[in-house]
Amino acid sequence: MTGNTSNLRDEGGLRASDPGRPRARSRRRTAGNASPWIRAAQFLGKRLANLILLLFVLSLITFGLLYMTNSDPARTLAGAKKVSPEQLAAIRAQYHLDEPLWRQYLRWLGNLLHGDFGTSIRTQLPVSQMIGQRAWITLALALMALAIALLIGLPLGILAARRHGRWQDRLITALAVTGLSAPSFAVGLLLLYVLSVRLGWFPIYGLGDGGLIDALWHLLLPAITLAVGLFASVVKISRASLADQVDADYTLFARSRGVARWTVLLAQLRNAALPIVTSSGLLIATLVSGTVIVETTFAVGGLGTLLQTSVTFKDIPTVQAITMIMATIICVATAIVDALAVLIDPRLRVRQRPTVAPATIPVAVDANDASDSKEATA
Amino acid sequence: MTHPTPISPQTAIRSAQPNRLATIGRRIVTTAIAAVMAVALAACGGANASIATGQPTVPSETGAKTSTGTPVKDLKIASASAVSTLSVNQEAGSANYQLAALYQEGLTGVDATGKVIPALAEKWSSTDNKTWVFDLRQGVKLHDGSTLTTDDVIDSINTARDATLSPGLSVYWPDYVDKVEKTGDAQITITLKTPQSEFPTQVSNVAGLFVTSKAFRESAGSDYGSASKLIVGTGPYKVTEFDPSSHVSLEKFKDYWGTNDGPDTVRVDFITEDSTRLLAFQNGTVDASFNVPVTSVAQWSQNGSNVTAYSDRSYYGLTFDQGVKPFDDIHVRKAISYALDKEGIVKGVLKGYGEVATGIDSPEQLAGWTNNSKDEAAKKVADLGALSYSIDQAKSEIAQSSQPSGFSTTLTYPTGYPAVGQASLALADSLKQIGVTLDVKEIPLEQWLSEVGNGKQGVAWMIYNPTTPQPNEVTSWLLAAGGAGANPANWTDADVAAQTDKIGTLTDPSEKLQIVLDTTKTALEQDIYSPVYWGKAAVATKKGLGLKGVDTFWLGTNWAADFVEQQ
Repeated sequence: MTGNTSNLRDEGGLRASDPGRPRARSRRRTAGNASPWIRAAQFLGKRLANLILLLFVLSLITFGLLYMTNSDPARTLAGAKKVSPEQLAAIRAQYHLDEPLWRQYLRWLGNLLHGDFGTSIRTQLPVSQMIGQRAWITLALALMALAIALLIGLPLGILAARRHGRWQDRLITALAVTGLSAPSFAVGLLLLYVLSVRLGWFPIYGLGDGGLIDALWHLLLPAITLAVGLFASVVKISRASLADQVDADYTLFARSRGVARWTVLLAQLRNAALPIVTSSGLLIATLVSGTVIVETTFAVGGLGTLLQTSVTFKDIPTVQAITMIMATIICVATAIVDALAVLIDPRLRVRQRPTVAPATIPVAVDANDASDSKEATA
Repeated sequence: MTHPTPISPQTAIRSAQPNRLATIGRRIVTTAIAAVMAVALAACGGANASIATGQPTVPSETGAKTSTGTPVKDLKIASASAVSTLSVNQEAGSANYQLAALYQEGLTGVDATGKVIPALAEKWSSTDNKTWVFDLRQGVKLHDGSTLTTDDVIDSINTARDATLSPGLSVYWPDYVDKVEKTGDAQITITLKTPQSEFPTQVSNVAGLFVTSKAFRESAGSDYGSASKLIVGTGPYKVTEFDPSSHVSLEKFKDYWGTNDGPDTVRVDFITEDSTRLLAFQNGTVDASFNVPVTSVAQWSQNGSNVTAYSDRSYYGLTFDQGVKPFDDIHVRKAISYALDKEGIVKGVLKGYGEVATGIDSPEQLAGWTNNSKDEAAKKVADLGALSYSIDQAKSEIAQSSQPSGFSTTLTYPTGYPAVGQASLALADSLKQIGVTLDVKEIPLEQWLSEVGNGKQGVAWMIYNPTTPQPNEVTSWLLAAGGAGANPANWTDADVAAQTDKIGTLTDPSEKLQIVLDTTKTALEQDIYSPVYWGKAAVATKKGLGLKGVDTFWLGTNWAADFVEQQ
């Protein structure tokens, strides 16, 4: 997944930290004459084509892998009971499990192109209905976890970078390492025991009966659990990126000239923001996989648990649909992050519009990128 | 993610005089960190303490069983199995059956001991065990307000028989039903191709029939039993809400034809994770819980809570396939059976929550043919020739076999059955002593199901959880000795197969029981099946909550009414 998205990024050519200088130059020449709208359309078009290709390959792989697993959905439906071969054959025929793999795949693809995810083998319900009932749960859980991880992780990362090498830094790093290495089911049970059972602050499981607000309240502790592993990544990324800026020559220079502390910090943050934002996009992939365990621990039936049961049941239509949706979410999130990168990093705008004077980018020059800025002004 | 963090020479000149805000911020952070650490430590201490104070595990047959008590107003109970649909026609797992017992009925039903009793049919009869006449109860109301008609019942039977409409339930309808007809205003006649004396159990809600309204089923289509359309039945409870990812809510059906002194509302919450379910129970969020793991009964029975165990009639045993070498050699099979320490498994692994199996069908299951006397059935199956643990005998058998110096083989067990895994490891351990290497592997349940009787496994587990009260439900499959595919051992024994088939044509219970005993004995003598244990299930109830009438089939009855407040 990571490899794929980084390839997409290279092709999109909108990243500041693109190491391929000659390629960047040639793109600049072609893009320089186009209007921003055309560039945006090109960007989206490429993204969309890549997404479709990726989904196609992914669907083939999931289909093939599921097909290879050694289980028979007809047998699972019937259970360990006396079942006649005719009955098993009838169930297989109903779900076209008796057809060759390629025909099953084409059938599924044909339905998908008509906007139909198909019918679940396990429940006989339309897959879109099953996903529709659960998608918001996983989405809300993931967004809440991301928000919590960023809200706690970023300030701690900044503090650690600013107190680089001192006890605060060591303590925060230790916490981050603990968070990263603690398995989420264990963290979940620990939090359940302490915060729900002992202190009674949070509900123990499920989504409650009180509508959306109550459901979100029920999702808070699962989100915190999910955020524990995530926050560690945020701390490490933000600490590392900001530490680079703190150590940079411009910081020393600004300090020595008596520039206000907050002005310096803002400049540092702005320069450190790029890796933080890009990595946050990748965290979404971690989030998606993390939901399975957290949803099970807190008895929250979202897409994660649905995917898990569907995989073990070999419920091909459901697995395919969830995989496609999750892959799309990850791709779209990466695209958004890439677009955000353009907004954050002025150097990118400069590269695309060489006529803009370099004076508009006062703090974006760091020691490492000195050669880059010369190139841009040349 | 793994950016290098170079040591900075600038650290020295940074913030030599921290301002007030930073100091406060630092204090908050450090306090918060200290609090988190303290809470974490307290939690660890607390968890340890609760384990340390846990009482020793003592199997309790009585638990919260009571004969008196007042009805509970609202019952909230946790279940480890989530159901994806309310329709047993589609998904026929034991959790589905258990829920449906509250909202749907068959022509017949069962009492807690498994005795077949009238439900939607007031009475039934057959002179030849082939033509079955059912007289329907009149004026029965469905949950949608309509009155049950003969057409509704016929439609429900035909739906259940249809493999396309009922992929889960249709397996209970082998191809011996010839026709289903309306033979009166309130009478239907079911004609079979071959005589089946146990047929009335088949049209019960613990086997193959869940009656609904034809109009509702047709209008709901594939949404029948889903969260949006719910389900219509005639049972004592009506489903008011269903979320496959979370719970089922039911309320008392006011127009129920029978009596229901159970709770006004019942809510079943799906909590698959054992530890979370335990915490929810200990915290009082749920009043009771099904699926208490027998290995952690002590934690479930603290602070006045009770754990009540009951036989679930499940059979756990080894199956040997003679088509796979070296299991064609009876000495090899016997060597393995002798190495199985069944007593040790029941005591050590199951903590006493199980019974050493001396036959295949459990005494509770066979009690249907012994006037519902489990003890009498237990006596009958006590001596069918199952081998007892003896390493010396195992050594002597292997020495006489085609593999005197031992061999290697694989034994798989399904996920979700840790006790079976531990039993397998115990067996592997004792087999080491006779030079046999047993490679124990855990595989997904679905894969395990697909591999049952595939003719490739010399030794395999058979885990069978009978749902129906048919006394020979397990052996009707295991001893259908007609060769490949007919039974999980692919066993061929023309006499045993013919005897097993004959049971359906007999009416005298003792004659039927005798055939089961004889054929089981043959299977055990030839060591085709090596029974290990009959399982028990356990339910936990909070302090003050009693259980009335809990027996082996209570989950096929209106079980919600069995939860009572104790004085």
